[in-house]
Amino acid sequence: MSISRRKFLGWMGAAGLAGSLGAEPAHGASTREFTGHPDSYGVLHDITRCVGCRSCEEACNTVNELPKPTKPYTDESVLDKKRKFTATEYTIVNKSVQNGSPIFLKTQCNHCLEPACASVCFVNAFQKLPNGAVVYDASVCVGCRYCMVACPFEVPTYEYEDPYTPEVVKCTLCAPRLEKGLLPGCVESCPTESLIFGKRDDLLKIARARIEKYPERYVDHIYGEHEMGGTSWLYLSGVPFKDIGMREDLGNTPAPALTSGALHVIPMVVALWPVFLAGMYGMAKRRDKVAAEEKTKAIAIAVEQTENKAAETLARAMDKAKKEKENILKRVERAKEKAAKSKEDS
Amino acid sequence: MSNRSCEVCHIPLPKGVELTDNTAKLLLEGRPEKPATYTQEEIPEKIVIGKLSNKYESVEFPHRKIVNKIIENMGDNKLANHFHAEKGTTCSGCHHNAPLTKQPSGCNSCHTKAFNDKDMHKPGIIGAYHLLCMECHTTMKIEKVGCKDCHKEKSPQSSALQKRGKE
Repeated sequence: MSISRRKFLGWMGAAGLAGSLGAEPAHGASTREFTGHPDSYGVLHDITRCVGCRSCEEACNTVNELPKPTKPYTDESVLDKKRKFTATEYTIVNKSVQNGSPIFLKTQCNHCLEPACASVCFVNAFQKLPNGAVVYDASVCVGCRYCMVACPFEVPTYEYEDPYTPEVVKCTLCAPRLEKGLLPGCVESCPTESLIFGKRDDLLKIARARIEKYPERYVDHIYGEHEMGGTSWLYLSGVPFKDIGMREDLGNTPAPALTSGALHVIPMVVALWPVFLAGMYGMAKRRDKVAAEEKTKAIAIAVEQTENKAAETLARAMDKAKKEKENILKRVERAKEKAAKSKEDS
Repeated sequence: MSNRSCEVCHIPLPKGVELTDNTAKLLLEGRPEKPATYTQEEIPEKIVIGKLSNKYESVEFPHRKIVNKIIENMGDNKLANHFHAEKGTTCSGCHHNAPLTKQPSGCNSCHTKAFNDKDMHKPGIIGAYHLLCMECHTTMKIEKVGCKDCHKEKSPQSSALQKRGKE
């Protein structure tokens, strides 16, 4: 049997729709709000306290055993140019000048409560740990780099230099150090406590208290409290966040809520694919079998009918022949009688 | 602002004293020309801070020089001098939450380890030093806010000594 491509895709679409309607929806697509794992940790970055010393960058480099940069960390000229994350720099301090005074902003993975990277990863290489860290498992990564596209903060980078086993790279919140009871490297090294580590709930309280105590010093906004559904890193600033290059257009909807509806159909289609193909095959097979059976039956009936008809014709012919024979005999008899009579008369 | 601040100017008149036209003038004239403070010998000259001596040379904090500069800046400002009429008030600008004595407690008597669960608002000792010093330098428009302005880079000799000490 043959299935047209159009028909097949139509079935697949219907199957996906049916699946997404019937199956239990992923929580991202629901109206349920996820406010993070209870007692998860985070970091509050008070931008007004940052002096741009880059101790955090140096500590990050040391604790993660990354290659040393060409320019030393004490070289302030590095700050003249805006920099981005690289496969060997998980955190970056950038300088911007606002109203004549320099403002330093430390950036790294924000460790979203509902990470976009994890929501697009079809091999589940990213995981949000209960302690707050979003960690990456290179052993399952296929290198599609969807995470790099999905991240609204442009955090994940890729080891393009490594030709054989390149990995996605980003800040880990020093998850291995947290397990040992140590602080993240950057936080430990910060001389002005511009970075403070603690439970996210406590950090929010501290941030609110600072805004309330020094309203002239801070913008009345805690960046990361709600952005993209909330992040484990929180920020306080003295100038509007968008002025120092932090996106304020992201909204408060977590990334999975935007994508999971469409994305969670994909594994279902993948899972149902063999079932469907087997079903198609089975249906085609059955139809062929039924058709063959019907054909045989029809032939049998036709043959029988033909045979019956032939027999009937034959019987009728025989009957007719018999009658004709009788008629001939009668006529012969009559002719004989007639001949005998005319002999008597003459 | 506590009530104490108000009472610096709004003093209750002593019994039997009545306000006359020149009372306020007399009171203002009676205000000190200079802030009250301790003698040069009583003010420690230098304080050596070695909290980051693993990375830098210890800092020789020029304590007396800073106190003298603050006194000098107040100059003959009668309002400032009136507020700093008691010895030790100037000291409490930095030695906050400490009693007004000749030897107020140092930073490390309260500020110890960073991220104290019991008081998350209190910075640790390193944070306290940097926040106070740098905040003051910025407010007073003292250009020296770079790391190397206070922290001298370690000489190879002292690094080697420290390394040996560790071993």
